[in-house]
Amino acid sequence: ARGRARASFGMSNFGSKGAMLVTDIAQSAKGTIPPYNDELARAVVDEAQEHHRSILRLIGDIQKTGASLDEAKPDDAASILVHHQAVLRNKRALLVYLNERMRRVRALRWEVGTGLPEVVAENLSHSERSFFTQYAALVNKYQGRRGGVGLNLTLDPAPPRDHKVQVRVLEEYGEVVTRDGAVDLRKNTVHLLWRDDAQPLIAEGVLEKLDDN
Amino acid sequence: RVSRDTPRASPMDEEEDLASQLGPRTSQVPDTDVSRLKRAYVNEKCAPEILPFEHDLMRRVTESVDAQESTVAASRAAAGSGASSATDDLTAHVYHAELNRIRFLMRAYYRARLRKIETHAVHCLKEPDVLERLSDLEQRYASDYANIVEEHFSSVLGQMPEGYESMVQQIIEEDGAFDMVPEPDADAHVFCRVREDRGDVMLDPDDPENTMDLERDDILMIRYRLIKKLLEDEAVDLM
Repeated sequence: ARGRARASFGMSNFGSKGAMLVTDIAQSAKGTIPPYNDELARAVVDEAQEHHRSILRLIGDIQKTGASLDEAKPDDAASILVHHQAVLRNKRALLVYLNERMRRVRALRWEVGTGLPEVVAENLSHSERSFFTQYAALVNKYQGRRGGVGLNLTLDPAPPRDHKVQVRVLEEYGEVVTRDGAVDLRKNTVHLLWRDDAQPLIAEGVLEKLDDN
Repeated sequence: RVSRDTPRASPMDEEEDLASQLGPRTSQVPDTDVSRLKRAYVNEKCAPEILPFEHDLMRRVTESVDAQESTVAASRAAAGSGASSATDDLTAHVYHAELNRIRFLMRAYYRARLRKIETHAVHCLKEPDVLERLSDLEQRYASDYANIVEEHFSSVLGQMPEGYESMVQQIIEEDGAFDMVPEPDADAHVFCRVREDRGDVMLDPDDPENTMDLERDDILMIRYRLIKKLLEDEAVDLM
């Protein structure tokens, strides 16, 4: 029976895969989202399922002897407990992984906006992409004029200094409509724009803020 | 604790005695809506838990900002092309600068609260005394947010063994506690400034003998839990 149990697990260290998963996201550079480690996440879930099967088997063995679980020998109770704790540890590892990635995905909405750059999107799982879309919509709803606070909350991450900013156009962007009328954002031209108009474009990388020196 | 030490026996004492006869000193900064907004924002930023939403203040500030914007826009339109003087330009500039500063405070206030709601969404929803501190829009936000998180997590947790799929309980048990719901840490330390003389105050119910003499402008570094009531009473501000 012992030999069979070993073979069915196929690994020796409880929690090592979970630790690897947490390390994956913990060691990644702060502002980035590494590719979703689907293989490892699945392995952690599968391992949890293995532990659970062991629990059920152990419970079954006890019940076959006619004893109730309360009357189980300490050794058997301890085995069940260890497997149960192993499942909980794997669950925690998974949630740490998902939670930290989710935090970074949320940050995207505030830093980049509602358009998810392709290079980032390809690193997200299907569920994470879906979460981003829903989260972006949730923020939009809260910010909106109708049914919301009516204020763009992604502006002014820092206290403002000037109400107009000088910017240089980095990418050909075409014509935009501002409070002062239409402005043609030709590459390498310099403009004096209202902060509210310029800030989203600066965040997107279309404009570059020029220091007033 | 950092505070001023008052030396005894000097001509100053006469003045102080006189001043104390006039009653406890309170904060002397004029209490305009903008200064209240700034205090609300800083308090919110520093407090570990979400504070009661400033319904009236935000309504008044929003109305003022809208009104001021209309006024400035109207005067710009009236000035027309090339007819504005240097004074008009400067006035417009000042109005815009002020509007931007106020809008920053409003945005920052809303943002600080959303961050806390996101971190403790389930906690906010299940504790009625926390939920009532949220505005109606925030309550809806908390609920919608908790739902999208649950949906996302369930894509993985749904594959877990039976009983382990919940994101609020480690293992689903009848009458089991929701042991996976993060809560704000009321024992986190905060810096605060005393706004009005309060005399001898008992701060820690576990240590009732140890009272503190709180005078205006005293600065304390203390567990949030112990000054929470003082903050609610506007006797202290966080910093």
